[in-house]
Amino acid sequence: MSKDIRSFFLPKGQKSEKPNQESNDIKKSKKRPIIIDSDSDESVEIIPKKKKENTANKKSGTVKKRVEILKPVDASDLFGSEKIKRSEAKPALVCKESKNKSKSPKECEQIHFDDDFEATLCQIDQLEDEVLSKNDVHKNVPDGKETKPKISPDGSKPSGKTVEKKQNSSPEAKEKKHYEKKLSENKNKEVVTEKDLKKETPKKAANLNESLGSPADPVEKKRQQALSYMKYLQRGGPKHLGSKEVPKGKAGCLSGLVFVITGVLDSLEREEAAQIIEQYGGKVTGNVSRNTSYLIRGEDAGQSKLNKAEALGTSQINEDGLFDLIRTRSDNTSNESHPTPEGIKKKKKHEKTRAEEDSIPSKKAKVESKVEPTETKKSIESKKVSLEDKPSVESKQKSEWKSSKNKTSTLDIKNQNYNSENKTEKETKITADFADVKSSLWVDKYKPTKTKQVIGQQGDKSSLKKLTVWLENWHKNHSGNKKHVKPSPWAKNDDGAFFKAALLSGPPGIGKTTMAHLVSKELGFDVVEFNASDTRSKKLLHMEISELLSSKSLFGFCHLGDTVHQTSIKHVLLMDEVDGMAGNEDRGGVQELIQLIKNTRVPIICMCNDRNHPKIRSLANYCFDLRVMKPRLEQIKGAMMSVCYKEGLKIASEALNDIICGANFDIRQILHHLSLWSVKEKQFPSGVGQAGAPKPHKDMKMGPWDVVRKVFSAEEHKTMSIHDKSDLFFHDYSINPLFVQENYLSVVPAAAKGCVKKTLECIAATAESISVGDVVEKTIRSRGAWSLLPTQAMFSSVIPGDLMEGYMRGQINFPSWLGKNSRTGKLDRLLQELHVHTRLSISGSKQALNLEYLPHIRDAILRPLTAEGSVGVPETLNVLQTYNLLREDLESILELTAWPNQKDPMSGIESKVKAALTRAYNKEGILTPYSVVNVVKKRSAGTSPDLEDFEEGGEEEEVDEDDVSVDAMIKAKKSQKRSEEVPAKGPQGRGKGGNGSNSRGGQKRGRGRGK
Amino acid sequence: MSLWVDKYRPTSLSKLDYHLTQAEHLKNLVQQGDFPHLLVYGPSGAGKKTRIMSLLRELYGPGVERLRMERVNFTTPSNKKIEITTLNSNYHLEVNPSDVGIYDRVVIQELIKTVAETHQLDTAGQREFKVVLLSEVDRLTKDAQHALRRTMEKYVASCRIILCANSTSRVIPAIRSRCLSIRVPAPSPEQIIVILQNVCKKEGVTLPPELAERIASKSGRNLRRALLMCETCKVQQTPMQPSQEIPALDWQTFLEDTAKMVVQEQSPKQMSEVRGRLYELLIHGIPPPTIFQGLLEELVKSCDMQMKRRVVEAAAKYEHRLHQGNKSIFHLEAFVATFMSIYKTFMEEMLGGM
Repeated sequence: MSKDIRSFFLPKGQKSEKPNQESNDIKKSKKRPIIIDSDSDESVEIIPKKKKENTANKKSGTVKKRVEILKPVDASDLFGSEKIKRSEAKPALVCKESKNKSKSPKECEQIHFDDDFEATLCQIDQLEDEVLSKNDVHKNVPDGKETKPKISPDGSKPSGKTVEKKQNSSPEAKEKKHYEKKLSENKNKEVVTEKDLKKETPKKAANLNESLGSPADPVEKKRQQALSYMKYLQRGGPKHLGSKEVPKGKAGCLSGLVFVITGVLDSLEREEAAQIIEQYGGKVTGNVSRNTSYLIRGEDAGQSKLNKAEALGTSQINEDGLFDLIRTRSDNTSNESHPTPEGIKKKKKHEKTRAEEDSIPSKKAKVESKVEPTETKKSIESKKVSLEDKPSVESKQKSEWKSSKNKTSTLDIKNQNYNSENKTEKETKITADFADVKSSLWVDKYKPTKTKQVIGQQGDKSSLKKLTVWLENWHKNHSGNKKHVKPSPWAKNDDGAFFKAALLSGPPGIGKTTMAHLVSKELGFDVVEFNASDTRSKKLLHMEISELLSSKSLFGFCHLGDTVHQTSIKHVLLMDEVDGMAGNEDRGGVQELIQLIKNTRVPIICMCNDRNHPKIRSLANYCFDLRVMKPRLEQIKGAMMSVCYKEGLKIASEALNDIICGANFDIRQILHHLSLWSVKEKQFPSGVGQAGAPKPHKDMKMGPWDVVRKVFSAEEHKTMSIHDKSDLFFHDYSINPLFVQENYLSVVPAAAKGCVKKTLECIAATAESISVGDVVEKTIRSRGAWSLLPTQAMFSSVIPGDLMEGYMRGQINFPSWLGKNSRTGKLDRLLQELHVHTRLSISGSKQALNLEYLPHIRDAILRPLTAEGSVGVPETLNVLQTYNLLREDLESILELTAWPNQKDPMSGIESKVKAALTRAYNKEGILTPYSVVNVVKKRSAGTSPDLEDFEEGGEEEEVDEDDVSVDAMIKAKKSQKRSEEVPAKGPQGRGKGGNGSNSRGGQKRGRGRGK
Repeated sequence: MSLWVDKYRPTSLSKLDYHLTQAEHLKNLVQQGDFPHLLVYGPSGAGKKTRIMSLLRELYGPGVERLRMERVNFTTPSNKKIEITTLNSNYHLEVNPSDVGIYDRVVIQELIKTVAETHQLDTAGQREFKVVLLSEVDRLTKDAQHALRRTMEKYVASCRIILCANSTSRVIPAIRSRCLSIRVPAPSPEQIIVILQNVCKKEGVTLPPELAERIASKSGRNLRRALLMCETCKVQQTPMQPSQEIPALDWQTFLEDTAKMVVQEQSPKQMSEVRGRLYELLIHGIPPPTIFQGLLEELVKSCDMQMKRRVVEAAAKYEHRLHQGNKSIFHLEAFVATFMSIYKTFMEEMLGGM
């Protein structure tokens, strides 16, 4: 048995160590607080093994060495520290003991045991810290080195064993398991044996040594982790979910206690348990730390947590234990707010029986989670050690309880003493933190310093790469040797050689400015930056920039001897936030910028958020268009994780995801969020990223498509209040009702369950609500009753969404109402015009014209053409003349009378006939009683037509037209002037009137003639 | 060559074909020399405009028929430039203020004021007043109507206003009380038949009485429509046959088909189709109340009495909403949806009962 092995090497090492260690320990105890604070590793790392790894890393570069060196050191550490701890921990315990004794002499024996156990736990606790501090000691104190060689001969044995094992063991699982078994055996033994054997410390030490030391080798650890992870994946839910009654305790009965839950509990979901604990004022954290009062363990508990808990001496309870705790504490707290030792004692008595009952199963669970066979061994051992079987187990259980109780109680007592101190400490800390935050914002602190660090811009096709290439080749490209052609905007692999400026566009907070700065820096350009804080009006821009660009930077002169001296001639002009160039201050800024770009001798980089802003659009024509995309979630997350790590901020992965999504991938925002969290966390040491924490949310403007999806999605409704729903409407209250109306038919309502009748009922109710919404909207618009908007929100969005909640079938359409409405308007205008034209001969109103006349008029016009062909042309013309219709009006009539699925009435007419009609029509020059103003609307009523002027005007116009067509650009103005003179002379009759109005009209007519 | 309906329009009060007593009254009114403001109302195709023009001719002589068109520009208080076409003779001015939509108030204020403030030059042989003829008064906005009422009183010495509307329901009472209301009822089918026969005689074609009857009944007592239909029939087939089919108007066919679709199938998909067709009707400028009417007429055909009541009720409700609201499609759709729901429930009950 391993016991024997231990006994082999223990005594010697111990003796030799003792003095040394003691001295060490004194130092340690002094240094400890400082070390812990400064060492960020500790807070992040939970598993002691890892720490060892880290330290090993520090000590030796190669892995091999690490393994070899690591072992002896560990052993020595463990040995020594343990002993000394013991001596330290004892007095406190003893005094407690004495107290206990005085209270209940009956329990004395048990308490004795308990204290023993407690002591060992404390040792473990200390050990842990020591392992850490040891490293520092080793580094700092030369003595530490001396200890190493001394101890190594003794310590080498166990460690050597493990190393050997590891080296020899092929990656067969069997052996490993075997090994694990041994490990757990040792552990168990340790637990059991510890209790009674004060004298057996050497043994224990060895035991501990093994238990802590052996899993230290990384490969082993990895395997274990993999195993446990597999287990984790396979583990199911609670076995007897909801089978136990949750006791009702006093509010706040668990206050001040910190719990960690591991594994699958028997009857509760983890979240439930956490909720219960929080309900009673307890705290639930994710990781075991010194503050943890209880570890609630279920089946398949996490090994690392158990290890840590064991190491820290955290008492472990199961679910029933938790319930008991609630019951007992709520009894107690009625008397005293803080559990004092007496209180605990009472409780102990009270609980004894219960604990007895519970102890066995809980014990079992514990053992189960480790390796089963050890149970028997353990029991045998425990028999050996303490003669009674059950009591020992019991007592152990109790001891656990007590120790934790003691701990908490002592903590509480201490708290009272140290409270003030702690507070002040905390406060100073906080203020220090704030100062820290102020002095260096995370955004600045973790700003990328190299282009490689820019998030999400590492690809070959990334904007950053393109920008770099562009900037690198700028001088080459614009040296004047080569002429570049303006590339088509759809060209894929354009390096922007043509452009003298680049335009970086993208949402805020993704690193555009940083990118530009870094690229310029790395290529050795001097940056001249103008941003929204500078006035950038036309004049100033012209003056300042041209001055700047022609001068040299002093930077180069200040750094003499550097190569910078040469490169500083290269400038790059950074125009940040160009979309902010607006208002009176910056009037003409964009135009000036464009001019600047045209003539620049240095590269210019412009930046903006909204690429589609009308102002930017003109600028974009002269710029190499680089669109910076939002980085993906994973890209941001990686970087943020490392920031969190550096800042010592523990954050759950999902919480980080939430923050990132909530900030809409705005890295700057995310960092701000995180730094806020970090401050908070130090104030309230738990709860960061826990489920209860409110999710950070950046208010985003959603597009109407997203809005309408949300309006109808049953999924989203679960988490939305009526206010949230009506807020959706307000994202854009003018278009949202239209979107709802357009798309509600394509929703499959969940309420209908696929039944057509029900669906139709839903639709009818929705349509009714929408119709009311329209009435409300009309009222709002016509009377300016904007206070009714929430009412409209209800009718137009919330009620439809509620009635139809389900899921969208098919995609969301843009409201066709807008298109249809404008088309309605267009046809109405045509009709209006027709009405005006036919007014002299028709008595009816516009509507009557539309509903009754038009088809007949159309037929009257087209019939001769279809029936007789070209011969019918005069007759058609006659009709047109009678009704004072223009050739163009015929088109309008056709459009107005066209219905879907109807054959085109013009299709029966040969194109020859059509041409003949047009020709005849033009020749005839039908006179109308009205002026033809369809070309230019704003023209006052013309005089009555004049035949004599007709020919003249027409010819004159034709000459003009030719001129225009010959040299459109140059003569346009002139001809327009002339054409304006023509109508002034008088003639405004049909044919030439239209011609005379302006050159555009003339061209139109000309084309018509060409047919 | 113009259509029959325009060709044979009577031009004087004595030549009118029906409502002869009323014509007599009007004649007497004019012969007195003066008359109050008139509000002529009646359904479309009853002959309101014809009567008014006859009246004016009676009043001023044939000079009123020499019409000219003018374009008048206005600037609204919000600096929007609007333009409207007027139909002038030397004695009267005809304008349709609703042409400019919501800016009709400006037209009323400016135009009528300018006309009314100037007196006739030659008062010797003529009347002392001019006539302003406002058509489609029922489509005027409330603002414009209110603007009108003071003007009517103020310039009564120099100007008479003749209002022409389809219905008085949307004319504010203040205006109604300031006018002499003249109702022009739609001609009875018999009257229509007589007129059709007369016209055909003048055209030299024979119209079978059966066909004339059918045309008259199908026209819905709209003389204009009847005449146009008659002419189409003639064009389709000369000589006309008694059993000849009277071609329906395209939009009517379309509307009927839409209604049939609604009855045919009730499902969200069908709803979308129907919506598309309703949009089409609206685009073509078919007035939404007409669509309601057309739909309802077709839909009730396939309903029993109990359902009819509910459907008509729904139609009335949504037609009312239509006038209160802005976007007609919403209300049309709501009506269709309600009908579909009612109908589907009914059908399922029927099937369940069987």
